[in-house]
Amino acid sequence: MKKKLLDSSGSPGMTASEQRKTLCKLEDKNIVQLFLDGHEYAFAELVDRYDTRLLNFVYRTVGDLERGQDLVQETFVRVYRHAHRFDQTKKFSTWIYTIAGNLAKNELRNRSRSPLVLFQTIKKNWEADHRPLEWEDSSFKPDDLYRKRHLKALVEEAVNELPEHHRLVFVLRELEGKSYEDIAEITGCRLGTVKSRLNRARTKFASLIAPLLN
Amino acid sequence: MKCSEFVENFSEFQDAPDDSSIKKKGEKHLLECEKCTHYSLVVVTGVRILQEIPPVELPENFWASLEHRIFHVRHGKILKDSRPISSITSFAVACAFVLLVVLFENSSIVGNLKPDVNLPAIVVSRPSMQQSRTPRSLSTILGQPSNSRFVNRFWEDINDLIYEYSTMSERYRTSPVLRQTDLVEYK
Repeated sequence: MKKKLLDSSGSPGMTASEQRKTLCKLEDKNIVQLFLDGHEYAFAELVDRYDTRLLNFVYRTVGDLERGQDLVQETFVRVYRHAHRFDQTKKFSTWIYTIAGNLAKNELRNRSRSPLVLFQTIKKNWEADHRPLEWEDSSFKPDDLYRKRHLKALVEEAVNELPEHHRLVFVLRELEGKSYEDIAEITGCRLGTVKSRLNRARTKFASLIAPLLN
Repeated sequence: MKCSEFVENFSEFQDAPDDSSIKKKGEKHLLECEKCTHYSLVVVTGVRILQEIPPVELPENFWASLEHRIFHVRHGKILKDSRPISSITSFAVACAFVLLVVLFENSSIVGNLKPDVNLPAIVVSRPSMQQSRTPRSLSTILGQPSNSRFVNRFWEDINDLIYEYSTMSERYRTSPVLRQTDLVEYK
């Protein structure tokens, strides 16, 4: 399907692999320009570059994988629609993360207005309880394996427990590796706000996981 | 540097370049303070664990679903682009409709358009009198002959009145049958 989207409206006289090779060398903003010039295959390249990254970012922020997928798709649809609005003097990655971040924020806001118990959270525990007994690697003891898996789940849970604004900043910094300036642009906050939010998020995160690590 | 100061500026210390003054100050404090060292270690280890968690994978239908949505956006764009022509057409249709309404509403124009039709007047005859209801007059029932037309009509009216106010059993009572018996002689 990905191939289909890439091949769907390629430039004449170029094979799909040639297109890909050409696009791989280009920067994001050049690809956006190509897309704006009417080359639809350039959009597929953008999707290919950001799909997994955005999914992980949105999933960590929202905490729901299925909803995360929806939001990532919505992000790409918005990019497709409003690509002409993109300011090419700025980073494309910041722009696309801003769209995804805003969608994630809206999702969290809507959820706080009508709180529901997510099936995902119930399902996660259910899966852990009902998973058949298996050893992934014979070199590890089952106890260690269980402990590691459990610890990872708890640390992941700790991120979900962070307040909405702090979580967004924390995920962008620690998991996406964004700079303070980029985070400020993505979240629409001042640099000082980003710093204080990140500091609070780290303090809260430390307080949540400290008992587990001890 | 105090512990509170260290925790307050931990993010800046953590993300600062190695040769920055805050980094040096922080590292110096860490050598002195066990509590802050533990705090720093907890954050760093926690983040490392988080980064070790494998990233979630895209589902198989992600591209198909996205392409479907993009198709609708593209289709919508095409429709939007073709909208000016359709709006002109719809405007022309609306104008024509308004013109027709004005033409037909205007009585002077409509008057000229009306054909002259002379139809003969319809004369409706008076409705036939309803037949009087079934009850027979008392005089008939009792077998008394009526003398004049006035009395007949009077009695008929009275009978109608009695009929109206009579009970159902009386209304549908069968007419008297004369029977001759040995016991009573009927006059």
